Amino acid sequence: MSTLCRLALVIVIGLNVRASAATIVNVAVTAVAGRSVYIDHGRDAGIAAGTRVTFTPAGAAAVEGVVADVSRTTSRVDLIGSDILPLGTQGKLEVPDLPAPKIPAPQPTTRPSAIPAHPPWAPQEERTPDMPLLASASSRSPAERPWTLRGRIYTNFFLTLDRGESRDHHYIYSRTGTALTLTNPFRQGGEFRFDGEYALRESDVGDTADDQFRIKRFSYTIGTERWAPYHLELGRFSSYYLPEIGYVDGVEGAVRFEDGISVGGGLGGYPRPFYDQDTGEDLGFHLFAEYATKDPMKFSGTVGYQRTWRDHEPDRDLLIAHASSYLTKSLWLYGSATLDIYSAANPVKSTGPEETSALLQARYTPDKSQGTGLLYSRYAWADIRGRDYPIVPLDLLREGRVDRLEWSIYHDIVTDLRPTLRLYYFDSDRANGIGEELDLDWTNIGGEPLDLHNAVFHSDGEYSDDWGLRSEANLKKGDLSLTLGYEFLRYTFPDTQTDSGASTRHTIRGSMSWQSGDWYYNVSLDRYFGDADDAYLLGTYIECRF
Amino acid sequence: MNSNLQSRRTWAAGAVCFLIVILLIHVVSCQNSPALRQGWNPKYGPVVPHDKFPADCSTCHAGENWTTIRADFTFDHTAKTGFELRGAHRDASCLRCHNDCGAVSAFSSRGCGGCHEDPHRSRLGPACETCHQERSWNPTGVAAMHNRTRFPLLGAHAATACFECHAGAETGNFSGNDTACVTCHRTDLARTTAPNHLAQGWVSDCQTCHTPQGWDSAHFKHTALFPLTGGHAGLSCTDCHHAEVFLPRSTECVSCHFEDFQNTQEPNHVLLGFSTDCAECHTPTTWRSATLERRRAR
Repeated sequence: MSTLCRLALVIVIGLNVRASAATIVNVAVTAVAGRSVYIDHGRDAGIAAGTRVTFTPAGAAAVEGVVADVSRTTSRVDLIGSDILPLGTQGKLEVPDLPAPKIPAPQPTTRPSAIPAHPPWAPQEERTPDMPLLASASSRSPAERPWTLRGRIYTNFFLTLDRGESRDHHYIYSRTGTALTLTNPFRQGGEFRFDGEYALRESDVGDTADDQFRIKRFSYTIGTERWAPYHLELGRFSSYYLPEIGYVDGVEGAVRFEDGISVGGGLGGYPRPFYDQDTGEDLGFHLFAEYATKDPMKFSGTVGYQRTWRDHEPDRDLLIAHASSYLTKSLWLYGSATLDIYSAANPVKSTGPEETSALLQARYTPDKSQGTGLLYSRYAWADIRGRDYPIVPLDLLREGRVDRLEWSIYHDIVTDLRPTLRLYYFDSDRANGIGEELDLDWTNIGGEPLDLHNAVFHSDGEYSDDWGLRSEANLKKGDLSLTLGYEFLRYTFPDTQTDSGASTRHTIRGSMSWQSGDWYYNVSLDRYFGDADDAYLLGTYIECRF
Repeated sequence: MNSNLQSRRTWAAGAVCFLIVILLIHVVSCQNSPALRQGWNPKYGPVVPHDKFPADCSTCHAGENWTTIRADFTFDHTAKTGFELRGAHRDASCLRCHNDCGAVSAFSSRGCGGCHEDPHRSRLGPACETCHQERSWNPTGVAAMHNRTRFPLLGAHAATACFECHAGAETGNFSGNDTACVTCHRTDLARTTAPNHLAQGWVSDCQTCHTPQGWDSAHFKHTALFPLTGGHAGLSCTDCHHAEVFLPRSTECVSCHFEDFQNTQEPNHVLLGFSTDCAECHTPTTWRSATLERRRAR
C-alpha cells in the first residue's frame, strides 16, 4: 500500500511538473500608447492576460510589464514603472506549453458568438471623425494599381400588336448595346467610358422603319477619385455637374476646393435630345459652381449658366440651379430649376428671365413604417431654336405651361401591410384636373415571398375621365420572380361631341424575371381587351453585368 | 417589306449574334476567376484605415495575408448602415463603392445621379426608383404611371410605342410634348379626304369629333337642335352638308327634303296644298308616318 501510494505520488508530481513546463516566447514592441505597448504576438502564441513580460531595451535596464489584453496576433502590455519604451524593443515572456492539440470533429463553420476584445487601435495617421469609413489615407497610387474593366451588355425587344376597333398596327423596338468602364488604363487614375447601342424601330403608324448605331458616351476622365482636386472629362458625356443641359460633345472640367466648393465649366457642342442626337449645330459653353457641406448629405447645391449659339447666332441664355438637403435625418428636400433669359429682340417672350422648368420635392419619413411626400413641377416651352421639344403652336410657346402638384402619404397598418394615398392636381394653360389613387401593398403574405399590390384610382385628364382597379401579385423564389396582374379601367371623353359613351378596358399583365449570377432575364406580356382595345405587348430584356 | 428594312434586320441579327459571342467569351473568361461579392479584390486598392472596424481582425481576414477574406464573411448593410441594398446593388461587390477612391457620401448625396447618369436631364426628378427597378434599368409599370398624368393612355394610345409621341424617348427625353392631338397627328390630318379637314379649316381640336379609340370612330354627336335619329342616323355627313360645307343648316325638314315634297305623288303634296312643315305628318323614322295612316283611316 505504501509502495503504491508513493508510486502514485511520483506519477502525479511528474504529471504536474510536465503540465507546468513553459516555453520562452520572444516578442517585440510594435506600437506605443501612453503607458502601454503593443507586442507582435497574441493568443496564437499562447499568451494570456496577466502574463508577465520582460523587455530589454538597448542600453537600459530591463522593464517589466503585464499583458492586459490579447487578440489573436497581438497583445497590449501595461508597463510597470516605465513610461518610455522604443518601438522594436525586444522582450520575452513565458507561456505554458500547450497540450497536444486534439483533432476536432468537422463541424459547420460558424461565426464566433462573441468577438474577443482587442486593444484600441493606435491612430497611425491624422484623420477626423467626418472622414469616410473607408478612406484613401494610404491607398496605392494609380501607377501601382492594375486597370479594371467592368460594365454590362444588354439586349431588349418590344413588340406591340394593336387590333382594337378598326386599328391594325404594330410597333417594334429593339436595342442591343454595351456600357463599359475601363479604369486606370494608363496607370494614372483616368477612366475611359463607352456606352453605345444599336437600335432598331419599326412602326406602320408613322411609316417608321429605321435603325441606328448610337453612341451615348465616349469619354475619358481624369480626377475620378472622389477626393481628387480636379476633374476633367473629354469626349461625349452627360454633364456631371449640370445634368440639366444633357449631353456634351466637348470638354468639362472642375476644380475642387477643400471647403466643399467646386467651380468649373465646359464647352463644345450640345447634341439634341432626340433619336438622331444631332450635334454640331448648337455650340456653346457652360459654367457652374457647386457647394457641399462636409457631410454632403446635409446640403449640396449647384448653380450654373449655359450660353449657346445655333448656326453662329446667339440662341440660349440659361440659368440653372439645383440643390439637395437632408434638413434632418427624416426630412429630405430637393429642388431644381432652369430659367431662360430672353432679350428684347425675342418676339414671343417678354424680356428677362422666365422659368422654363422647376421641380421641388420634399419627403418626410420619420421611420420605415410611415412617410409622406410632396412634389411640385412646372414645365414651359422655351423659345429657342435648339429646342428639346417637337414643334408646338405659337400660343403654346407664348403662354403654355403645365403645373403639377402631387401629395402622397403611407402608413403601415401592421407590419407588411401598407396603404398609400396619392392625390395629384395639374393645371395648364388649357385645362386642369385632379386624380386620386389608393394603394394597398401587402408584402410577405403568410411569411412567404409573395407580395400583393392593389389599387383603386381615378383620373380627371385633359380629355378623359377614368377610374379603375388594379391588382398585382409578385412571387419571388430565389432568383426567380413572377408577376401576374389585372386592371379594370372605365373611361369616358366628356368634353367631346361624340356618342362614344363609356368604354371598358381589361388588362392582364404577366412578367417573369430570372437572375443567374451576372445574368438577368425578363420577359413580359400585356394583353389589352375590351370595348375598344385588343392588343398584345411583348417585351424581353437580357443583361449581363461584369 | 422593303429591302432596306430587310437589310437593317440583317444587321440587327448580326448585332445580336455579335452580342452573344461577346457574352460567351466573357462567360468562359470568367470561369477561372469567380469573385466573391463581399470578398477582397486587390484591384480596388487597400481599404484603410480600419479604426471603426471590429477589433478582431479574424472577423474579416483569414490565412497568412491581408488580402484573403474569410469565406463565411458577411455584412448586413441594412442593419449596420440603415440603407438597404436591393436588386443589382445587393449583388454588387462591396468594393465597387467602398474603395480607396474616397467617401461614398460624395456620390450618395447626389442620389442615383451620383453614380448613374441621368438621361432625363433632371426633368423627371431624382427618384429613379419611381419608374426603374434596382435589378435592372428596365422601366416597369409605366402605363399605370402615365395614367396619373394629364394624358392617360386610353384607346389606341395604350398600345402605342413611346417613340411615336415622345420624339426623344430613345434618349430619355420625355418632356415638352404638347397634348393637342394635332401635335402627333399632323400627318393624319393632312391625308383626310372624307371630309377634307384642311379644306374645312378643321386643323385643331380633333377631340371635338374624334376619340383616341380610332379615327374611324368619329361618332360626331349632332347638336341637340337636330339629333341624328331614325333615317338620319345612317347617313353620310355630305348627304345633308352638300359640297362638304359644314356650316350650320336650317333644321326645317324641307330645307333638305324640298325635292321629296315636290315629287311626292301619293298623295301629291303640292296639289293638295300640304304644309311644308313635314313634321306635322312625318317623323324622322320614316316618311310613311302614323299620322298620315290615321288621317287615311278617317
